[in-house]
Amino acid sequence: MTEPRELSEYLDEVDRALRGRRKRRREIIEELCGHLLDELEKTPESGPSVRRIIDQFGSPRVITDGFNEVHRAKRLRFARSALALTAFSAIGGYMTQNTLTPTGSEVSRPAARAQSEARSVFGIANVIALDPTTGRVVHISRHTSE
Amino acid sequence: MVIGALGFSPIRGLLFLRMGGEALKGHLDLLLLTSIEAGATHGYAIAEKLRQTSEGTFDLPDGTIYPALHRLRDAGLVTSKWSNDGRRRRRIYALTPRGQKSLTEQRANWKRFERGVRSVLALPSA
Repeated sequence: MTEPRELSEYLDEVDRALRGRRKRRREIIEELCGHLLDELEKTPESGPSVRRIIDQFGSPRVITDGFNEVHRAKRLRFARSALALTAFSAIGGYMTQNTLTPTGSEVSRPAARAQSEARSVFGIANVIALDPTTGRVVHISRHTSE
Repeated sequence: MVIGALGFSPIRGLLFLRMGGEALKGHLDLLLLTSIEAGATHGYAIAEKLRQTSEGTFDLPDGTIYPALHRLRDAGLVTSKWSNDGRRRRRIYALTPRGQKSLTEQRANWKRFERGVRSVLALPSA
């Protein structure tokens, strides 16, 4: 069935007022068009006109307000999730940075003493020292036993 | 006038909202989920079912169910997929397990609400 002119004009008006990506708008228009064509096919020739069927379907304003509200809510949910993820990543990054300290002068005295003892007693190649004062892993080094 | 043109007026959608439509809007989700519960179906069939099973009481502008269906889909209460019957594509909606659970809860809430109203209005139980 070919679309009557009034139907095309109605759907164009709805399309112009819809927000969102083109694919989403195209699919909405296709869905609405399918409904209206179903209604037209069901209606006998002596029945309500195309105009009356469109009026019964709802004004473009009522339809698009509903869809745009759904679109707005979806974008808000997405923005909230992105914000939460960003905040979580920032916190995680900060904690990681402060937990692992590179080799250098930042090693505290108790950790350096512990590291020295580990080298002399165990002669192990890699030493990870746990700073007893802060409880942090403060040093990762490569050491060859003497 | 405006009320006299309720049948097929260009502002029928707005009238629907003003004259009790707000009450229906609050329960539209329940009505839509119930309509889909019997089996996966498309928007046109849902609108027809609502009209027929309500005996014309819920004669809402058909187009208003589509944003509601999309909202239910975004909420994970229904799924939708395109289906082609040879003539045209139709979006078919089906209830999810979460949607079934929500429907059960909404039904229970409605029954509680209805009992309360009947009690206040001193009407006999249904």
